[in-house]
Amino acid sequence: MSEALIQFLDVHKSFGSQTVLNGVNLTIHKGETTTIIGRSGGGKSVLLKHVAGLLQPDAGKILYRGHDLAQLKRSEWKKMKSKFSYMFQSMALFDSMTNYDNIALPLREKTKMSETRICAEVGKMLELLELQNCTGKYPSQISGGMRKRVALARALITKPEIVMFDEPDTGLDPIRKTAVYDMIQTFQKHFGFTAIVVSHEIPDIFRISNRVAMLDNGKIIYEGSSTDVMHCDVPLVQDFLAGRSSSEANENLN
Amino acid sequence: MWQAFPLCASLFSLKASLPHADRLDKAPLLADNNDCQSGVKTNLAALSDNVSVPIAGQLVGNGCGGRCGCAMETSVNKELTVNIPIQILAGIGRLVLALLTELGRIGLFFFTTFSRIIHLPHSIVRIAQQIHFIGTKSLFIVSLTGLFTGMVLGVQLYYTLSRLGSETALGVAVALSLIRELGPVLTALMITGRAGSSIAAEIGIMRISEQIDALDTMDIDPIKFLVVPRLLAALLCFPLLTAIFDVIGIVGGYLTGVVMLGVNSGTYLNRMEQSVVWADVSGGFIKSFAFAIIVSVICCYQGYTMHLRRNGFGARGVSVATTSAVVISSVLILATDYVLTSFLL
Repeated sequence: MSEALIQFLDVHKSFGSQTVLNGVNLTIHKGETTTIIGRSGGGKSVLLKHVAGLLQPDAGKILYRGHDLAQLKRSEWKKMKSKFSYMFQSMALFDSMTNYDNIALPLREKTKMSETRICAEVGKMLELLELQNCTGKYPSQISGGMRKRVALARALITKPEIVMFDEPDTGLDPIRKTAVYDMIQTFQKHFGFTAIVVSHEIPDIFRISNRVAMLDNGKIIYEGSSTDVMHCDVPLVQDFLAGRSSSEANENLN
Repeated sequence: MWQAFPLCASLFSLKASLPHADRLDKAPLLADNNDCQSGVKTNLAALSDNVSVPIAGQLVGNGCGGRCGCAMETSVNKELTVNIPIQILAGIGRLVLALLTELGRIGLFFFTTFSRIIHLPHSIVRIAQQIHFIGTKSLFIVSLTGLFTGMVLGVQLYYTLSRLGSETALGVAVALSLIRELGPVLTALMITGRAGSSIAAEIGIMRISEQIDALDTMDIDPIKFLVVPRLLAALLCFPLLTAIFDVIGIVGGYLTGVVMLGVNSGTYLNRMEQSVVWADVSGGFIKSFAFAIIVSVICCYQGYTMHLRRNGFGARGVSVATTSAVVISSVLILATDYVLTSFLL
């Protein structure tokens, strides 16, 4: 097994009286694709936002290569952040910029590349994602599927070390969904980044996953390889995979 | 006589301040036979002279008191009486804490924004875009306001000065009113209404649609990216627009005072040239700079921090942020104007 890149150690997070993470322990391995599954509203996006530094845990630690994120100096944190990329569930594209400018923004702001070089890099990405026809348009002028791809292009344009995908496949038709999976897989092999994916597309998402973790009730109740998950004997996981509403889940909902 | 307003008393929970308030603790509460079973419902229609409505308290007792089978003996929780002063104090405390928290946030936002100004380089393109949005697009409305303000000043001051036989001072009066006071203040208020509200709404929408979080994850400083260009653009545009407002206002005063009401043209312009000194002009510009900082930072702040407020989500949150931005900026413009005028005079 490859080295542990990110580790969650007994991470807790609450919003007011609502506890979202209740002692999460999880390890993300370098170069692998880890998929986090779980019920909607279960805290999967919150978990991702902790890695991106958008949220801080109330208790517990998040380690990056063994270093506590909370203890990092400002310069170290900035350096580390430049290796991360995040694709939001809502895509979070800048609606007052064209799609081209959205994709080019990280390069313009964080690198010293010339505009010609940026144009070439963005062009390559647009070609890979079949987005050549929408460069001059604004995000509101293209379809939801295309917006997903623009968000994906923006997340990958800086060739990050860790990419977090928050439901990259929601709202896509089966062909586009497969295309997005292929793309993530291809890019992952090409750039060798570590991917953390939050998805509900079961079992399709397992095709590109090395490891699967299930978050339930604020805890990771299952962590294992994507081939083992379909045969695991944890009842909650089996119920979730089969789309059954388990008694414990019902109690929680009540 | 307070029995005439039992519901008002219950609504405002002001038992302690009401006359005969002590009766509330002892008053029996009528309930009809059906309600006796539940033990909590009250028959308000059956209230008589001897009956009072308890205030926001819990009914104590176990259903019918057994006196008549239909009247329920209850009393208001006496602890409430003791708690009222504490609740009032707690309410005041919460308000003060909320105010201090907000002031602290605004202070930090101001500090962070100014600290980012020295983090070079800044995007010239983004600053130019904001100059176009705040300055160029406000030019028409500012010019129009300046023209009508000058025209009104011309008419009003003419009638005031003519009573004193000093119509010749019309040019000076119009120019000084505009340059020292009305120019900076009205320009700032017009820009707040036109551009400030848009700034708050735009940044607010960026906040709720996670665009600001996206900047953060890309390691792009949102304050430097969003707030600093607007502040720098405002610092350039406010004094320029104020100058334009002043000039057009003076022309407006000329139109009404000289063209319509017959004041001598040479007197209007000559007295103005003799009396207006550089200190008047620089005072107006100092005010414009202060207003530029207030409007740009407050409007950005309202949008940027809207998610931290209660109801700070969705379309309603944006509308509240926009309204707050305009109201707070306008009030601060007028208050700062008074303070600066006191120092500059």
